[in-house]
Amino acid sequence: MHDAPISWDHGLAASASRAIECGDPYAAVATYRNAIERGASDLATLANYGVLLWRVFEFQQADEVFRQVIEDARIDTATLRRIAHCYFEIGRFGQSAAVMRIALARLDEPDAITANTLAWTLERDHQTEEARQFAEAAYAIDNAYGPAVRLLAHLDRRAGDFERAERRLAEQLRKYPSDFDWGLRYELAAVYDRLGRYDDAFRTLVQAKAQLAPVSAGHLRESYAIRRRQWELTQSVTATDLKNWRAAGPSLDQARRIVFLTGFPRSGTTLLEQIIAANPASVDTDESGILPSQFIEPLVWRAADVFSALIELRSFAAEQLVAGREAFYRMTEQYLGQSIGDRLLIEKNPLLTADLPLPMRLFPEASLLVALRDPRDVVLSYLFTMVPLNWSSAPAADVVEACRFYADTMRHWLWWRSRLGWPACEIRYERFIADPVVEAQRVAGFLGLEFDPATLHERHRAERRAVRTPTYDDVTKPLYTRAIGRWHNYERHLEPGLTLLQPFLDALGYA
Amino acid sequence: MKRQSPKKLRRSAAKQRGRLLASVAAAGLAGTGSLAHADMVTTLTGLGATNAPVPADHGSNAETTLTWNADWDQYADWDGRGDVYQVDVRILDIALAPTGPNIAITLESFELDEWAGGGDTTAVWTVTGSASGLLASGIWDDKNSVNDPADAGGRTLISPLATGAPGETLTVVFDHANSLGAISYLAMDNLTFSSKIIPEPSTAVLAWLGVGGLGALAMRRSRK
Repeated sequence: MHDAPISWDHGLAASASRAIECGDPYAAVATYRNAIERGASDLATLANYGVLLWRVFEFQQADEVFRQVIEDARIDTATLRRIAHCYFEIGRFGQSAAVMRIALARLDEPDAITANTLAWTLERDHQTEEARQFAEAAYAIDNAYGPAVRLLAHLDRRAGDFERAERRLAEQLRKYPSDFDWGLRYELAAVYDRLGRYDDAFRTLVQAKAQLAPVSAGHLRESYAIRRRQWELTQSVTATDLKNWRAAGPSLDQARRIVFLTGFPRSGTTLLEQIIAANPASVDTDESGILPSQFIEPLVWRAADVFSALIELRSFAAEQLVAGREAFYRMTEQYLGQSIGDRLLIEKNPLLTADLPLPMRLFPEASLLVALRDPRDVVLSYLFTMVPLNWSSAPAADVVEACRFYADTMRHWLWWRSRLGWPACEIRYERFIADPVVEAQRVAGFLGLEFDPATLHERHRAERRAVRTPTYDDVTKPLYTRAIGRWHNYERHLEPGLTLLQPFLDALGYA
Repeated sequence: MKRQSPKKLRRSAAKQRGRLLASVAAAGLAGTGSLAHADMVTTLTGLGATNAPVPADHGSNAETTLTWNADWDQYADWDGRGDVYQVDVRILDIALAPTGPNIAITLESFELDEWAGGGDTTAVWTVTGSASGLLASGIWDDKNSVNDPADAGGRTLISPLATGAPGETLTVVFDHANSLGAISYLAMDNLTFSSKIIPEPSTAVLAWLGVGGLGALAMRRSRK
């Protein structure tokens, strides 16, 4: 028991939890709203209400609630971190940093975690100098705090000081072994790569992944189940389904335009998105995740079986599709913090390749951009990328799993290429880097946009909204060629998985 | 609010060796981002003393105490698929109790496995919270006579992803009382559960990660 002056209402939270588990998140929100209308004004209730509003995409209302909570001097650091996390999740790094500043200022004794969390939000907001200062402060508070060292090394790497990054990380691993060693090793692997020490890089990466193996195993099992369902559904959709779904298009409101930008992670989708979205006639979502989390997961992945999913997809009446489209656009506009209007919406999701049936059902008027890149470079880059563990990142556990995941995803594109009937345009990363003007012009023409070569300059990308996804640093630099053919440096390490990639090398013209 | 300067932080109080955040989510700030929180994940992969009882507290850790019903049996190399926990009577359960009021437990997944020749096996599984009631349930019929006509047996993964409130005990029950399959041909394996410490200082706020499917909800509710 805690005898704090403000107690946590387990009953209210439990009630709301039950509503969510019964599939009614709005009832959970109403539970809190009713309690507040009846006079509940404790910080826990308000904070929980704010986060719940956040989860149902009512960001404006959540903002107002959060402001009340943040202004109260009694609020604790953990709650402020939770609120900062909400802003961080949707790429509002500046707001996240503002909340973390308050969290840090209110501490009687600053701690490494809070200081370093502020440093990370500043780094994502491209305020690198200030990020470094707070990371150094975190390190000064606690030399053993690995995440601070990792951030400092990351900043060193961003600045091109690879030797310093290497020294920092190697020393930390030697002096303070911890549960976070895997994070330090991911960063060290990236540094070795830039130093041309490829065998050291791969060895370090394998060590990092070995430490994560017990945790990633469960996510990998989930990944197999999702991929199995995706393939079952793709193969079950018939030519008649596609014809009927396209035919339903005119009965839906088609005032808005949407293009799905997909492929596979690390195929150049973020760069392409940034360049297209520099055009004022378009707007991009930078992987909002709305389609997978709000539609595909419940309707496809969590369906009792593939037949249930397919029957439900087929049975949607026009009013249901309209409701789904309206919900998608409402959530997207809340996420963007702006109205889409008559601009082309670029819905980027590299993994949507394996989940096309539902988007095709919901948006029969959509077109498709598919980013392609040498599968070997894609897999290599995927292995090096550090993201939170989930079903789509767990396959980076080793080379064979990563190649299998690539194959399981891209087989969908090979299947749909000749069957889809939707307007689709493939863009090869290598060709784009070799001749960006020609390729960008081709894409703009496909999308019906005017093309301005000035939008290829990295200044345009650096000035835009901060990028949420892993390549946030790369896409603000000038276009570079060093990522092309990078796989050659690691050929012997990739060898165990290459037979899985061979069909794609052949089919996509990379053999 | 006056900003705390980084220089002031460096000169400030003695070093703190707070608890390191071991969660992979902590480092997710490099990617699509999540800030710090702690998870302990455990997977129980069977025991090999065939027909010996599973110890009552098998698999317990610092944050979760397990209590296995006395009729659970160990089994080594079950039908060639490794050590398992045999469901040797018709109804068996396992309770997962948090060791503190601020710990919330999630029953992530388990596998059910029928030995070849087990017959027309179905099993009902439920996950119930001591305060919340029924959290998840399902019927496992992957190896019944319709889905496994050759009676070859095998296993499949079930992912309840059922989370209790802080301090709440979860109970998972396996019930094949109404199954036509053989009584001793059913086993469970790779029981995966996780626990999370919910901070409870003067206030506490949840992540509400279970919220999702709003688009699907909108579509399903719109059917005339």
